[in-house]
Amino acid sequence: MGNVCYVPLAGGESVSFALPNPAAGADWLYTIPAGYEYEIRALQCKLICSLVVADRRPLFVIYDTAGNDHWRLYFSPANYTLAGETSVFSLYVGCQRTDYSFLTVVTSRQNNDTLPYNRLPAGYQIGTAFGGLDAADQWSEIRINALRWRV
Amino acid sequence: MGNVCLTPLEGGEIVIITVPNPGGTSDWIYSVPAGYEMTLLSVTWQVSTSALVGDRYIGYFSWGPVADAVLYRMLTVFTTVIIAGQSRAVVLCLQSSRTNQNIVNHYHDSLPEIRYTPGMRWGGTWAGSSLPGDQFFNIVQTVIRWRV
Repeated sequence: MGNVCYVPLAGGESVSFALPNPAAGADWLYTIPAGYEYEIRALQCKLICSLVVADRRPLFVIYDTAGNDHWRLYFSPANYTLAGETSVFSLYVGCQRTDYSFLTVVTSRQNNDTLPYNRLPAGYQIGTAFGGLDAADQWSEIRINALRWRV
Repeated sequence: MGNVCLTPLEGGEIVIITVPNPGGTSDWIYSVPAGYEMTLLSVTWQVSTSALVGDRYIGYFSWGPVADAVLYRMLTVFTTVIIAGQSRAVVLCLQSSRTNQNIVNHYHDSLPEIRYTPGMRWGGTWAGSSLPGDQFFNIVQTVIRWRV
């Protein structure tokens, strides 16, 4: 049979999933479900901004079960998302781009940054806490890839 | 017998996979086959552009695992545009500390450390910027794979 290489249990289960859109003007948070630990490997999300003029100031966060910050990732002012823009954020473990933002067309922005190595127990949250969101701004296409273990 | 160091099964199997050239102006896509999980260690491909004048943008995507309702995707757009009549090579690998960099017509950037499940896909894209006569070719990738 040769060298049959099965995925080791220690490696966890690789899963990909989408989150429902939050209400307009609201950030999104994903809560690690009971009975699992998650290692978030990559996430993508899209913000469609209204025409109300204000800088949308990116901030990605990890909270523990008491709401304490465990990680905060800001983007610099030069890379804020602006009114009328659609902004896609792709963050992943191993990404060597940091604080990276690029207008692919006039109103379509692509952003990259790195995720920290992490192992999040049940109840921890990962998501956004943007500054300057307008009430009509909308998050969508929120997708996560993770390794997970039952505990 | 001595200290015999066999490759650990836990480490998976390293394989080289060549992806067929796509049609002209088309993106290339690789799908993880049934029965395997994979981590992409490196991928290189070459890019040639026709003499038609226009900026070209190159990107890297991953999708899946549901093909018809994209569940997951990443986009890496290289900001240095390719102009008409030029050739480039794209070199992506895990842990590359060079990002979005073009040296001697080679683009360098990092890859995500993800274990892809069957049906997930990744590939190179023109991001809609290709023009007639443009071509991706010589697509070679190194992956670690496991049976599932």
